[in-house]
Amino acid sequence: MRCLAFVSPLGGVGRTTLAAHCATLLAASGTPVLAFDLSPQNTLGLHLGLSAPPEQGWQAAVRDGGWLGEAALENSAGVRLLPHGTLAHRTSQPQGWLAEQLALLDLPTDGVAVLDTPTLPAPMAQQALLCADLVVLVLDVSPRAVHVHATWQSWIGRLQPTQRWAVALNGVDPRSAIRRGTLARLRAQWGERLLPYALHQDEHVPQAQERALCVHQSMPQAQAAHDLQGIAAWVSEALGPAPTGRQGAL
Amino acid sequence: MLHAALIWLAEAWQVREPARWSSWLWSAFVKPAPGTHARAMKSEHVPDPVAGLAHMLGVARAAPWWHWPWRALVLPMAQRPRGWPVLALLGRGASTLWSLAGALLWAVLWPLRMLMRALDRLAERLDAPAIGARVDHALAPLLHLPGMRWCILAGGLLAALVVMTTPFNWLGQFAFLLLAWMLSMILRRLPGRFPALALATISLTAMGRYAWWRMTTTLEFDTWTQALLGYGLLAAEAYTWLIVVLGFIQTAWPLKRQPAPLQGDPSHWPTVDIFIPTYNEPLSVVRPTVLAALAMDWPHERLNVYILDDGRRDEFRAFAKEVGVHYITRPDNRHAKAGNLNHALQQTDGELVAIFDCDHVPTRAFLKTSVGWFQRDPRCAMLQTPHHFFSPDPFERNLGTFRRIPNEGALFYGLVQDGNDFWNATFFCGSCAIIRRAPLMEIGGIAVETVTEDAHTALKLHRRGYTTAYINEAQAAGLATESLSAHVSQRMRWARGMAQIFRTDNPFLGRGLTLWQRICYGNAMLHFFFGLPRLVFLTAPMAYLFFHIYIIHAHAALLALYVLPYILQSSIANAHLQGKFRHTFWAEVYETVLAWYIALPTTLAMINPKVGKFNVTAKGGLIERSYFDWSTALPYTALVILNLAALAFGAVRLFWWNTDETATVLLNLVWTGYSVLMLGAAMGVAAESRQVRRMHRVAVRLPAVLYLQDGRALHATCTDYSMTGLGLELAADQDWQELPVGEPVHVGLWWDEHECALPATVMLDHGRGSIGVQFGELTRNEQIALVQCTFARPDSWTHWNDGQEEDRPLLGLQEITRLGLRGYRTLGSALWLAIRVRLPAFKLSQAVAKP
Repeated sequence: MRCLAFVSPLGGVGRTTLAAHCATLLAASGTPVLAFDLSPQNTLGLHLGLSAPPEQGWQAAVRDGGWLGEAALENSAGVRLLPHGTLAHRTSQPQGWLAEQLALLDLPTDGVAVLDTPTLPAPMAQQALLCADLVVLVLDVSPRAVHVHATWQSWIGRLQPTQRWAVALNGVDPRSAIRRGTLARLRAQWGERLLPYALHQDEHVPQAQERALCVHQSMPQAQAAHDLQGIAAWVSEALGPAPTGRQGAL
Repeated sequence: MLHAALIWLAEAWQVREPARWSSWLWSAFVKPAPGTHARAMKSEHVPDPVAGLAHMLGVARAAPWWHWPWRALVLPMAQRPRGWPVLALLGRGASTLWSLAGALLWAVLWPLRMLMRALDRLAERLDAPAIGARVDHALAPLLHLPGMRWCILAGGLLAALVVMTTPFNWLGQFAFLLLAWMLSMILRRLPGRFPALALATISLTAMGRYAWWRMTTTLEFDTWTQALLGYGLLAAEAYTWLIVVLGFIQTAWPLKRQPAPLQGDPSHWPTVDIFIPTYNEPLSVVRPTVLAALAMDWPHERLNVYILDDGRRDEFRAFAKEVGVHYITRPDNRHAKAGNLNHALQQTDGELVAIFDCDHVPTRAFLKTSVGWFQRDPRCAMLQTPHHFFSPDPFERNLGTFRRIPNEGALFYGLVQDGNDFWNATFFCGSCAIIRRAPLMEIGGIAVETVTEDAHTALKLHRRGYTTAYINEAQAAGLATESLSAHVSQRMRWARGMAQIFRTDNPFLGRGLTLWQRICYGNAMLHFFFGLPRLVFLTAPMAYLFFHIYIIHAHAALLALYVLPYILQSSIANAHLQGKFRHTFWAEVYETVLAWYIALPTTLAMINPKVGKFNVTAKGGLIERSYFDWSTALPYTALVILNLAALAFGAVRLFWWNTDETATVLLNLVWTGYSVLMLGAAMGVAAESRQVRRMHRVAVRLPAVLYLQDGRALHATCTDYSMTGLGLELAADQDWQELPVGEPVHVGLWWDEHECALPATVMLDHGRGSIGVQFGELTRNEQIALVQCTFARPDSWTHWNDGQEEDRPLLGLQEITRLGLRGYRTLGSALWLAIRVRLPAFKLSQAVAKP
């Protein structure tokens, strides 16, 4: 099982969008996928067929002492979703809890767990950072994103050598001079770490969410669909070949 | 009744597919497999021969009996060729005869085709590289002996001489023809340069045999007229032999030079001045060139762009100020472009000077590709790149061959200059080139003595011992000549200039050039004297057909036997060596169109080089409506009439007057027929078709984004672009809401990884996924961005020739024949139209445009 986490120290940059679309596109190519929503915003399912954030999630299952896998849902595209659920009060988990739970989930060896995280430095986001095979830092093309580069090194220091990381940009709009300039600065900062595809600012994305679909299902000609397909393809290749080993069932 | 019988037979034989001949044939000899149960045949499965015949002849179902023989002779109304009622009667017979003749030809040529296939298979079995390596290995010690190569060359020449001068009888000559042909069929399938050289050598040998035989046995004349015409024809033929030999040397080894990488730090690269001379071209044509020059990949502080405006227009001055380039004018217009450039040379000081015609848009990578050689070779004074055109020239537009068949310039820029490069004889072509300033100032600037100042400048540089280079990568593209008259006047200027140089600064005389450079320059100049010889070839058979004068003293069949190997071998060799750059028989079309116009200037220039002025080739004009260019086509119309009359005379001679000399008459008729075809294609070129747009669009496939005002972004492909608009293609969708005309949008295009958004408005959206947008007023930066994303892309023209068709000589001849016949129809209708306009008896409409 391989693990993909979308993290960011900034809020509202598009982690959930990227996570939902990567999960759907990976599932479309035949990979068993689990979309794991670690964020209290509970919105991962809105691109995956849910018309409203679900009440019941893994938080409730864990609080009640059960197995978090009980809260899993599956959609017609074959994506399995573990929603967060509405949070009555805050609970925290010990270090290494996430890694342990992922191991317990016993996903197939060629499967991928896609983690949607809350804004860093939330504890769940930090745990996701430590157990992901591929960490994708998501930034939007805005002036505040330029300052992330300086502080990112402190997060990276804790990664294992086997973990890879890359940067995805969201909200590209060449019509805006500010965004063009910011994009150039971000390119200069991150260089080789940037994904070859950046996600354009596209009204088709919220339109798709309104229909509880992914963009490429809702409007295949959208530029966002084209970008997301490119991102998913890159991610699939970057995750590497499936490790050989015992096949398990979810 | 017949049908019922056929159905019974089909059932009896169990024919698998009653509609096919082969199935019937099979069942006639092979019994059905035992165990398959008999199927009943339905009447609609078995074709009804009577109904089929009725359909073919056009006889209606309830027609009376005499319709059948009538329709066997006369075509029905629907099938009659328009406007030729007489032919309807002959049409049936003619088409039957035609099919029979075709079938006969197919059967007769069958052994030839079998032989060709066998030779091809033999060629596949030969492993040319391995054999070549072994031969190389065996000969290497021999070749190392000093002087051995010259000995071998001399020996080879002696052997060739023997082959050329040995007289053969009929059988011997036929055997020679067959053997040479078989050898070339094998050689043309082998890869590498040496088989190509061998092919060219065989072709030269065949030509040499013909030339020797012609000069020794066929020049016996009885009267002065015969002698005059006979030697005239010989002179024309000798000209072609000379050109073939010189051309063989010139293109023997194309150098295929690769770009040299730049050395050193960018702050130490040479400074470059880009000159864009202009005289009377509109600003819209010059704008993309200037913007692309600004977008060049070169350190900005080492690059200067100059507009050299001989028209002294304020519009250009304002434009130069707006975009930030230099603007140079001079008080007079002496020596036209050469004078303009020399004046600018006095006022600038870059180490290298790049010159672009005002409509040649360079790509970003031009300097980075070209300057490397100047660093590598200190004696290099000039580097030339191809003139590429993204719009069709008159041949391509009026004959419909754009991007399918290589155009006229493809041979020169694709092969000839590459061959010149091997001998260090590449010459300057006036644009898309870089010249080193110091050697240029040494020879006194661009040459002003002739009207082709570019070739003359390069000649002077070579005389001083400098080298030149050629890189066969299109790094700039421009507009081709707009109309046939503009094209012809441009070629006339080149011909006049080359003849002037030949007369005043002959490359064969004077010091400073190597033998090979002299040959290359000589060929480049002598090439332009094709006018008179071509006219001689177009009119030679008339001497016999009209006046019964023998200008070749030989039996027609023997003449054919000598000429055939020559033509066949040279066609095979040419197709192999230059098939990519010039398809077989197209050279004849190009030369035929230009011959009349080239003949006079070259002759005049040889007599008095000072006569003749520089006339500027108009760029960027629009052909508003279709018309037949009578003024340009008049000489060819005259030739066509003469040739058709000759054909008529020939037919008469064939059947009545000269039945004892059938072979001679036939030979002359075939020759005249060939000329008629070529002239027909020339007529086709003169029929100018209407140009729809003012700005030429370049077809391409680039990724693009269409941004709508409501925030949606659509993925699109840009299918064509120009400075004023784009064509976009979206994935078609049933629910697509068509965009209203005038809707403001933005289009995103990329250059490298930067995306630029350009404001535009929707011009048309048919709902099938293709959208046309037009740009509004673009700011300076937006214009530069547009040029960078489109014209100035480094790989803009790399894949231009990907869709080109392969050279298939016989198919090419068929196409030229078709174009020729179409040309005659055009001539006929234009003539008819002209008559109707002039004769007041006919009521006519105001419009003179052709549909």
